[in-house]
Formats: sequence, structure tokens, C-alpha cells
Amino acid sequence: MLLLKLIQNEWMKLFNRVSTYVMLGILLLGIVLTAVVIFFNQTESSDLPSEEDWKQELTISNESYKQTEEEAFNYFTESYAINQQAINNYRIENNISPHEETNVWTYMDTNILLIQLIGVFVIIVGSSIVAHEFNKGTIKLLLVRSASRNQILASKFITTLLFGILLLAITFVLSFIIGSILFGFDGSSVHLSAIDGEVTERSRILFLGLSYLASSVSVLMLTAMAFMISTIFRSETIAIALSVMLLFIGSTATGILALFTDWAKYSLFANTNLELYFTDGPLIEGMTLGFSVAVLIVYLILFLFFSFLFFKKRDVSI
Amino acid sequence: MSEPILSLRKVNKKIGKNHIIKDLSFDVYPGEVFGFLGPNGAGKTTTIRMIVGLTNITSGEIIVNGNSISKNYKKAIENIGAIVENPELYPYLTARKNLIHFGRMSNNVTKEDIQHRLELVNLDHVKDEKVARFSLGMKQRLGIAQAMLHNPKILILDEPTNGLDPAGIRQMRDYLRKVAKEEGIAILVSSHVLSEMELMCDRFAIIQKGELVQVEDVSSEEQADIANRHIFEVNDVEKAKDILLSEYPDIAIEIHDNLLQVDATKEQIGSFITYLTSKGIILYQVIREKQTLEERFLQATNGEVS
Ligand SMILES: Nc1ncnc2c1ncn2[C@@H]1O[C@H](COP(=O)(O)OP(=O)(O)O)[C@@H](O)[C@H]1O
Ligand SMILES: [Mg+2]
Repeated sequence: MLLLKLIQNEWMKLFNRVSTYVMLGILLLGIVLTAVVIFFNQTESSDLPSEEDWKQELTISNESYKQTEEEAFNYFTESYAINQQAINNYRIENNISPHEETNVWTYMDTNILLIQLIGVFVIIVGSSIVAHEFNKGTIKLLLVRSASRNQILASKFITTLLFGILLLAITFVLSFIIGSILFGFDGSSVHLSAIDGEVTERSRILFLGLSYLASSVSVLMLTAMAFMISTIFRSETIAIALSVMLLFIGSTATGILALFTDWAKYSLFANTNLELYFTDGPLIEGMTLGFSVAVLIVYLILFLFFSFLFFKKRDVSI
Repeated sequence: MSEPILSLRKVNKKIGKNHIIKDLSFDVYPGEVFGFLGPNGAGKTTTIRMIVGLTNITSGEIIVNGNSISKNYKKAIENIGAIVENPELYPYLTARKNLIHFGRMSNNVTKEDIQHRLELVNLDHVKDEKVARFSLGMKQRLGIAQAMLHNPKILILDEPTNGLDPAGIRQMRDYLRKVAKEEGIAILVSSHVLSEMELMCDRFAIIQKGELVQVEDVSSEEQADIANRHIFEVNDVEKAKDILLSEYPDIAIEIHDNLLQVDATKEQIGSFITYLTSKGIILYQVIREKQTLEERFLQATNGEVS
């Protein structure tokens, strides 16, 4: 099938470029670095506070959440405070300490931070995979063949996604391996979350998998956006700068926006954090997982629609 | 001649208010090397971009092996192998990987085909080196190899001799002539340097400011019905001139450096020779002045080059 061969081509080009190996190297370095830092700052069982101490700590924390709940001026702050109290109470009742020894799960949890880094890399690849062909002039040789422009663009988008999945898989699997060797499984507990004051227990590995995937949603969306910008403007720089900026400040900005208007719920970043639906409940009252997924799909379709439209219509005059 | 493999019919291209190509029509036939000539900015690259579908045709039609490039792109483009402007290959891939890449985009291109093409363009010994290290001539040759991978019926090369040294140009010329003859494919080469095209092309079209100035055979001056300049060396130029003018009063005739210059067709020259001899003039020699492509080009474009 032609599309598969085109993807094979894109993959070959990607892995014959130095920049790809630089990215992989930095990611590996990141994984090693967090391991080293955590290794020298481990919480041993002897460091853990006594039952009495942590229960008292939780009671104090609950008082402050209570206050937040009463003074809260928006939905999310209030529901967050309610849920945290529920979790704390659940811990006190069921004797589940919030403190644990450093173990493979705490290490993997830290490495979710690396998804931001993966985001930057995937955005760079997504921005350059089309623009680079225009800059180098190779787009002409690519287009004057029987593959349609749609197939060529599709192969490039799919390759970018595959690259993202590869980086994610490397991070997840390597973190698990390094984590289990260095920190082991001792002292691990369940994962607790609460929605509407209702507490749920989940297995750690399951929840981590969920977190990794949920954190990747914004990467996916921003990659599609970067892909669109670079296809329309044929400029890697604009696409990378804009998308990376949004990757870092997008959700914060949306969070602030959500304080003032419910319309924020239609913005991209109000919906990228799907993890909320499993942990603390929605950002804005009335939002559901289905709603967010639908909004994300609409954004994704728009980004891809404009990419394909411009790529197909444009005259190539380089 | 057989059916044309490429046919342009009243092709126009407008970009904004600029009318870049005006009613351009010409045909290219299998087995010939067709020169597409014109000064810089005449619209050669724009025309080639339209032929390969990189840019839309404003009006008119381009037919490749019976398929319209705008209506039946896939069918039409399968017949074309092309390099538009510079041979831009992937600098970070080796020569072989570049060919593997483009080979994957067509059906039935095997490892052996790739090896064969590398050998044909004399790049076998550097096939595993990165293209970034190649000279322009090597890139040009690799470009031709990639364009020929899928055995197209027409090869389109935009200024392939640009930046090549005389030896490189000669090598390219020999290779293209060989390919046209042996594989029977048509080759369209554009150029603004006419002297390089003379020995390469069978026929040529000249465009200027987007308009076709003329299409002809490189050897057209040998055709019987075209008047060419002939130089007569005789024992008495004045007498010879008078004799000719008395019998043929309409002909263009001049005396230059004690030689007679006559513009006439092959047939007319024949009768002149017989007539002069019969009148007692002694003819030492008659030479047909060969006009270079460049001179004909200047004539056709009224001396305006670029
Ligand atoms: N994208 C474009 N927009 C506007 N004008 C263009 C464009 N491309 C080419 N031209 C103009 O069209 C004319 C023909 O250019 P071109 O086809 O590159 O000529 P050639 O290849 O014969 O040197 C030039 O005058 C050029 O300025
Ligand atoms: Mg040109």
C-alpha cells in the first residue's frame, strides 16, 4: 500500500537526521537525571511520619480546605476543596497514609513531567516534517509522482504521531524498568481520587498509564496545531514558537480564563486535561468527559482540515 | 511522426495581474531531445511547473500520453520523470537511500533497478555517501537517476546544464542523447544557454516573455525551402553579380571582401551555379554559411537576450 510506503519513507528520513538522535539523547538524559535526583532524595520507611502525625496533618489540611470551600468564588476551586477533604477523610478512616517510601510508582509519576519535553520534540518534528521539504526544495520531487498530496500529508502526520508514541513508550517502559530496579515496589499504596466527594481507589500502574495518556492529549492537539501552522505558513519557527508557548502556558491561561467566564469550556486547554475527569472532577461545572472528547475531536478535525486544504490547493513555486 | 507524448495546447498562466505564459502550444515526440529555450524569466520553469502539476494551468490544456494533467493527474504524471530547477535531493541521505525513497513511491522499482540506475549515471562508487558531499554534477546525475527510476515516457529537465563545467555538460549531453535513442523516451530540456543546446537537441522551441517565438528542427537550415546565406568565390565578382541580377532580379545579393553573398534556397543555388558556369564565370567554391542556434535565436527575438 502506497500510504505505508510513504510512512516508511518519512520514518527513514526522520531517523537519518542528527536532530532526531539529539532529541532521543536528551530524553534519555532526562530519564536518567530524574532517577539520579530521586535516588539521592529517597524517602525511607524510617523517614515516614507516624500514624498520629499524618492523621493530625490531614486534619489540619482539612480545616484549611473547609475554609477554601466556603470562600471559593468559582466552581473548580470549591469542588477541588470538597474532594480533597473527602480523600483526607478516607485516608484517616481506612488508615491509608499519604506518605510512602520512594518506589517505582513515585518515580514514574515524576517522569510525567518529561511528557512536556516529549511535547516539545513532537511539536518540532510536526512543524518541520512539511516545512523542511519546502525549505530544501525536495517537496517538488515528492509531489511530481503518483502519490496524491493528501497521501503525502497524511503520511507525514501519521509519522509524527508514531514518533510521539515511540517517545512516550520509551519513557513509560524505561521509567518502569529503571524504577523497579532502583526503587522497587516496597511501600507502595493505592491511588485515591475523588469526584463530587466520592472517593475511588485505583491500582497504581493503571492510574499511571492513564496519566501518561491523558498528559499526551495536549501534546497531540498542539502537534496537530503546529502541523497546521507550518503547512499554512511553511515556517517551522512560527509553528514551533507558538505551539511550545501554548504547551507551557496554555492550561494556566485557560485556568485563569475559566475564573471569569464559562465560555472557557470551549477553549482547547479547558479540555486537554482529561485526567481531571478521573481525579478531581471537571474544571467548569457541567463539563463531562464526553463533552471534552467531542471538543477535542472538533479541534483536531479543524486543524487537520486546514492543513490538508492548504497543502492541496497551494501552488508550489520554489 | 508518431503521436506526441507531451502536448501543450494554448496554455496560459496568470499570477495576479501578471500574464506569465501566453497561448503556449508545442508537441514533444518519443525518442527526441526537445530543447525548450529562452532567456531568464521567459517562463520556462513556470511552464515546466504546469506540466508536472506543481502549479495550476490558468487556461489551456496539457496532455501527457493522452491524459490531461489537470483532469487525470495520476495517469498523466506516471509518464513523467522530472527535475524542476535544482536537483534537490535529501542531503542527509545517501545516494542509494535517496533512490530507495523515490523508488518506494512507484510500483515495481526493485533493488536491481536502483543499482542499474546508479551504474548508468556513474555514481555506483559513491552510492553509500551522503548527498550533502556531492558536487553539483553528481547531484544532477543522481537527479536524473531518480527521475528515470519508474521508466517514464518523458524526461523533463529544467536547466540541467546550469553550473556544470564543459566536461560535465558534454557528459550530460552524451548520456541524454543515448537515453533518448536507446530507450526511445522523449526528453524535454530547458536552457537559457543556447550554445550548449545545439548539439544536444533534435528540435527546439524558443519562448520569450511567455510567448512562443518559434519551433523548429536544429537542422532546419538544410531544408530545401528555407533561404540561407551562401558565399560564392568566383574569378570576377562584379560580372557574376550582374549576370545573376539580369536573370534573377529579385534575389538578395551583395559583394563582401571580393566574395559574393547570396541568400537563397538550396534549389535556387543549384540553378545559379549552372547559369554562372554557362556564362563563362569560373566558380572556385560555394559555401553555405552555418547559422548557430544562438544567431537564429537572436534573429527570432530581435536581439533581446534576457
Ligand atoms: N510565483 C510567482 N509569482 C509571480 N511571478 C512569478 C512567479 N513565478 C515566476 N514569476 C514570473 O514569471 C516569469 C517567468 O519566470 P520563470 O518561469 O522562472 O522563467 P525562466 O524559468 O524561463 O527563467 C518571471 O518574470 C517571473 O518573475
Ligand atoms: Mg527557470
